[in-house]
Amino acid sequence: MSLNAIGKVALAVFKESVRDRVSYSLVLFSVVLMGASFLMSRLTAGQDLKVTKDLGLATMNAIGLLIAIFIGTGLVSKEVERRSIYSILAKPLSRSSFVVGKYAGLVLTLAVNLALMTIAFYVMMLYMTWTTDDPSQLQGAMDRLKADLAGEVVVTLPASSLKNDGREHELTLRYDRVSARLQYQAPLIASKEPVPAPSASHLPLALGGAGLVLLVGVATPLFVRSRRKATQAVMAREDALRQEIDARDRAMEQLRQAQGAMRDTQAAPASDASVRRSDPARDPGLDPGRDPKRSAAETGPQRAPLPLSSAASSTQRRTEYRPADSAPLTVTRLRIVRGMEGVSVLTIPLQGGKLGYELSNDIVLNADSISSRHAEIIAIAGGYAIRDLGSSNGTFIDEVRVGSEPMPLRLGAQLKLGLVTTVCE
Amino acid sequence: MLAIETEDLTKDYLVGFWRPRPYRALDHLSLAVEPGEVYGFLGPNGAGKSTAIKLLMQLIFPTSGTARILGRPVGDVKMRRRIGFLPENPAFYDYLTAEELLTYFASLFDIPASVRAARVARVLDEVGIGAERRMRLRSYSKGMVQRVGIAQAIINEPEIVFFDEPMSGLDPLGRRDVRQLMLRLRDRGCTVFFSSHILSDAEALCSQVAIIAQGRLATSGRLSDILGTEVLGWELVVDRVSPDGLALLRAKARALTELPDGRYAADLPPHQPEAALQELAAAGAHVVSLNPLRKTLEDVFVAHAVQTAARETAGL
Repeated sequence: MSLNAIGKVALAVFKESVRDRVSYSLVLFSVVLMGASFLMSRLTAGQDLKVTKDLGLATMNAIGLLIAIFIGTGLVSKEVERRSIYSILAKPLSRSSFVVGKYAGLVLTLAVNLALMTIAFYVMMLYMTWTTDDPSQLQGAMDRLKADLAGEVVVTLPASSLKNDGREHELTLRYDRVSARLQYQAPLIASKEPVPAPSASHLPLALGGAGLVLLVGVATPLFVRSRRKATQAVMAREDALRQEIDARDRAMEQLRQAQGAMRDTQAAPASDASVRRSDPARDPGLDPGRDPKRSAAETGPQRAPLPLSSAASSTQRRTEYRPADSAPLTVTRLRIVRGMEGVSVLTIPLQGGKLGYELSNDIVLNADSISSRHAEIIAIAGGYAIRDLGSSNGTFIDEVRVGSEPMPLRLGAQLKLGLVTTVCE
Repeated sequence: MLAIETEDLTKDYLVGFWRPRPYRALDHLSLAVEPGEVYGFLGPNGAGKSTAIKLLMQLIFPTSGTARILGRPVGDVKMRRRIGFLPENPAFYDYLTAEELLTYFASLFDIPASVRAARVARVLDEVGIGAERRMRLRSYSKGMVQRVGIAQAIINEPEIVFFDEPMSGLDPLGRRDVRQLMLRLRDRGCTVFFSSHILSDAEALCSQVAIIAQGRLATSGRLSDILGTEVLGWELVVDRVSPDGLALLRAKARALTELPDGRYAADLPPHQPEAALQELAAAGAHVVSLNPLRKTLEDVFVAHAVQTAARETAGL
């Protein structure tokens, strides 16, 4: 923080408020209000100065507060919103100087506005004393009154006449003629209402309060920790996904090289060992006539990004290689065509997952016809299969109802979840 | 010492309120910018250019990785005396005039009051703000605000300027002015680091470029290295072509376009255009122009974009 920078920011804030119409109108309004208090004071009997003072000070207080709120709230937030803060923070100026400078500017603005209102207030007070009776005459009357007083006057005041006390006092007034001083004494006579001691009826309230404090104190760190854990879990999943994508890229590159080598050697005849590219549309694992679990077991339990090993062992003739950028290899997402507003595509997580309207699902689909746990998408060799989890409105692939046994998702197939119709892509 | 140096700069934004998920805007970006260069920082919309520049200005803080400017960490306040920054779509204080704004910024740089007025006038002249400098910024058009933004970035005679999309909102004349200004800055020894998605600007200005896509560095290096010097073909424009010449042209050219006034534009293969020229000349044709066709930044850019898209479809 440097004082120099703070001062410059503060001056800029002051300049802004000087050019702002809001503070002008507020100061003007306060002056008008003070003038009105002068008119109102005419309606009181002999208390005109007091009424004017009270109203004038209250006006200054309230208007000062309004100016602080109107200018103060926007000082930093407006800069962030308009992005003018970007160019300021790139200047040799620390963030703390910026914030403190803004505050100092607000204080400066308020001080100047308050000074203006005070001047207006004093001008009016001065005008009022000019128009009222000569104060020296009043002083003379007071002096005569004092001369008449002698000895002591004892008055006992009732409890209600003294604020903040609730106890009875004896008030003694003594006027000393020599020093011309009025003195008073107010010794305590009796305490009428004792201070209430804590009773049993306060106990539940005190316990309740302590319990609430304890609850908030314990729940807050637990909540913060659970949120942090959730974020970390999501980040870990993200990283795993990235690694998997990289692994796929590498495998794809290897396959491309193998294909290139194949194409070179294919010119020469009698090369029986051929590489077959796994085509999702024709993959046996995705054949609806077969049990997907069985075929998944055949090709290995985990969904290899590219079944290189099975491709090498296959003796089938090589089918046409489809480059990755011309078409997706497997079903990767569900495009919603009917029954759902606002959402157009559901992306299937790599490892599959549960689908339903509850937020704990991997794919959340918030529609009336979707059950809380509707269906489960399972990763199988070369693609995904879906099984129903006992949903109320059912799951259908091309109008065939899916039961608890998984049925494979094929490219272009129509998947109906309740009243939501999607197309596999 | 490198002018700008970043090492594995990574930024995750948390998206969502109840279940915040990280969105990786910048992924392990490592750059090294030599002093005195005009360095183009290119990438499609949403590639992470502005995120990287904001990280360099420490307007936001990195998730991991470090960055240094002029050998100093980016948070160093004193270092900022030596740099200038134009934010993307800049906005300033509406209630100030251009002159007042620049005077304020100049005072933040501790430029002595005696030279402040002269300096402000000079940079405003340089960006082409005329008598409007006495008007409040409220009344300025977008292009004029952009010019004021450039002026405030160079008010302290910086050693490095960071321009985030300096050409946005400018008309063709304004863009030419800014291009020339950037070259003048380079001639004064200032390092210019600018982000853009307008490739023709980058090709005309940069000695070095970095291309980023989806938060990752796709390629970086000298423009000449990235583009290569290989000639991919020749664009030939001829006039007064006889029917014989036209037949000849049709046989030689990969593509032939008829232009107004009896002119023809032909796309000739890269090897030996001289032979074709001689034959055409013999047929009485008049050569208007002959231009080499080289790989452009756009080709590189599009190739990278296609590659990234392909990876995305294959991966997810």
